[in-house]
Amino acid sequence: MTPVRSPVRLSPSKPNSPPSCILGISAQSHDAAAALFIDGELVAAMQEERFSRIKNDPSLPIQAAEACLRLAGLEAKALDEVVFYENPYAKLERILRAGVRELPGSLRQLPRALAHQLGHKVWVLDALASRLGVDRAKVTSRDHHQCHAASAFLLSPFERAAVLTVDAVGEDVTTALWLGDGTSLTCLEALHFPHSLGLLYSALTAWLGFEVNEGEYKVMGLAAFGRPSFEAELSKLMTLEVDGSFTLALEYFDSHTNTEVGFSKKLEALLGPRRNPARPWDLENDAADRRCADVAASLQAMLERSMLQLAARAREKTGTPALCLAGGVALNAVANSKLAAAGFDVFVQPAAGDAGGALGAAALASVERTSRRPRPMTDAALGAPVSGALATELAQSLGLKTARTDDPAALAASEVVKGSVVAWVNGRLEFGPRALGHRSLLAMPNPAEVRERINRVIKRREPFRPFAPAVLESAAPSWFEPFAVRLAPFMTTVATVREAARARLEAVTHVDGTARLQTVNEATAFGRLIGEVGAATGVPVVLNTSLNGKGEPIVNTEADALAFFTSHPCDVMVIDDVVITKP
Amino acid sequence: MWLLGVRLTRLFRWRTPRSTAKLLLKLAKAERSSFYDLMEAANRTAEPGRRALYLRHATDEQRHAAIFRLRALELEPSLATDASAFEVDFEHLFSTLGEERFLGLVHRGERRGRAQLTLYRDELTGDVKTRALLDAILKDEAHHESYTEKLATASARRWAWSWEARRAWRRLGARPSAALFTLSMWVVFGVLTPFSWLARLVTKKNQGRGWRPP
Repeated sequence: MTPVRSPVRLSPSKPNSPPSCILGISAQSHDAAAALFIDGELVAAMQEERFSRIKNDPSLPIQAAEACLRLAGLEAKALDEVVFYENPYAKLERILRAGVRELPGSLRQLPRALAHQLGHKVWVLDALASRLGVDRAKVTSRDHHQCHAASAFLLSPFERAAVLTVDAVGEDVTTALWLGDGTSLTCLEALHFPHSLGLLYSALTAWLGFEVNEGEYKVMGLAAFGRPSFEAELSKLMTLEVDGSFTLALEYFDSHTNTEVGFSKKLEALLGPRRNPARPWDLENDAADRRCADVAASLQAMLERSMLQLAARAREKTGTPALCLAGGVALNAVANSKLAAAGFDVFVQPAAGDAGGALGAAALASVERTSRRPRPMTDAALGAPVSGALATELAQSLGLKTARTDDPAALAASEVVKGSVVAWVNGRLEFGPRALGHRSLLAMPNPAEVRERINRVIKRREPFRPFAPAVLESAAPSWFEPFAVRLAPFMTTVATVREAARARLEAVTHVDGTARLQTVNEATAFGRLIGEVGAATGVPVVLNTSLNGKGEPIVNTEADALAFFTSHPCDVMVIDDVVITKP
Repeated sequence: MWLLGVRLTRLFRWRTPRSTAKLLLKLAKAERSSFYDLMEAANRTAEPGRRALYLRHATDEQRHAAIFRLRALELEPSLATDASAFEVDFEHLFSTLGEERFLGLVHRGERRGRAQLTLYRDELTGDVKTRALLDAILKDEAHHESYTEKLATASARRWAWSWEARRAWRRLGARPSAALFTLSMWVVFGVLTPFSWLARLVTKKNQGRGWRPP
């Protein structure tokens, strides 16, 4: 394993200097977020969707920013700098340039894009200043991929590492290779729009009938059901060079003229018509759906090959196997596991997508001011906590039964062991797309019917989608083949379930024998819960899925949790130290 | 006046199962939007008693939205993929207007909603199923109207009328604005067209492929 940073700060902050307060903001693309650094350390980070209750909400994250400040006991005027994660003017230039070049094909898309840019995005820095109530001079911006790179490297455990940022597109860059060394982050080279792995994956996501910027992880899950038998067809979409760079065959894509689907009629001529999004999935009996799974498998294989080539390029350029990833593509847990298997020491923070841009923006400004890196990120619980007292009051007003408990972990564990589906709301909200044991639905990892119940009745989602296991850190090697230990706490990798363990983990084992595992420290409340389940059943594993209804963001507050509980058929809810049941 | 308008469109409303379904989806959208605004209120109000009232109201609205949507899809399954089945008009009323005015608006909306649903219920003599669900929902609506009446001040209720009128005016103005924008974009496109050829020429020289230094 790569040598990691010393726990001692690289260069201590100047004595007697006032603490620096930096707020990072990502917004107006998808998944807006705010992150707060105080005196060089990350103290809070939250996504706007958790407050507005609109999934992937792109609007200015004012509620999230206010919540970060409230948590730290600060007012906006105490902020030294507010950093936006993108240069709005550079982005406008790229959109204008690309739109003009594609005329008349962009006739429909360009007015919408321009209206959005000129009506909102170019004013974003002013809007942030006025909505937050800070001096305009304090509001700055950094480049999109620079923020991604900072979120990956500056919060990583590595002293020196290669950094790959791979997403759809930032201002103009789609993929960039960086060298992170101490407090410095240097861009070595980049690939530019429209040649983008993110756009390729999004276009095929739309072709498979899923929503762009939301359904990509469904494609990853679907891929396990197929064979990569469409590689010849998909190779026409992209040429992969030996140096890791790639070129899209633009005639198959339509990102300039149709951002909703991003593919052209030529792609439908190659692969067939787009799958009807409304048609229920039936992989057992429907040949067309199995064909879709084959396309997904081929796409996943292509992405993995590209990522391996990019990683090889990164190692060649930087001379280190330590690799930090960020950008939407870095949330592809299967590809991450392949990189780890190929010998890279990978780190991916839990909010690797655009939400993490806020983290990176604030981290960059913080390092510039304090000349030291924040402590490595080991926990995603960066949001606001919940209160049992408030939950009790609200639950009683809704006619629900409540009871306080001294040991919520033991009580929730006993319910899980009994076969209940438990809504577990504990401590601070997670940052990033995964529920990591703070806002989770928990159940036993067997039998397989548990998965069916949660998929079809509670979460009402596609039947092929897998559930993740949360396992005690110390017990994980007994249940899973070797895996990327740095990624597992954030659920950004997958591992093969050991053959002998599959029968006992059948609700969390995907069709290909893998699972997107989360390792949990025994000392946490969630760890104690899993430990209790292990003590009672011999299996220190629980099924863990996010606490949200179909199409909704993960719950945030006590009220959100209770609104979920009253409208979904789960058995028990535990909020902080209060157990809530239906009468 | 407003109810008179609703009465006059009766023939179009219940003409076919599809038109009924479309109306129910519209009602589902209104309930869903209200759910979002009430959840925001439940999460932001400083008064614990009101928080509970808003939360209960929000869960009612969520249930109503689901009921309307299910019935709509029962009547016209092809609408399952219609964008209107998922639309939300979340206006952040609590955070933008403050609690007092929010309550004035909610009360006004509930009173109007109850009158509208009562009218629909009375019109639906032949459709027993839809009528039954409206009956059930009307009980909740009566409770919503009554609790908001107690909480909303008289001045907030009066203010709500003028705010809604301004909103209607703004929404009406959005259409000519959009038309004007389209027209101006056509002028812009006319000016930009020669540059598109230039841009293509430049692109051919520099294909934008492969690694480039930052």
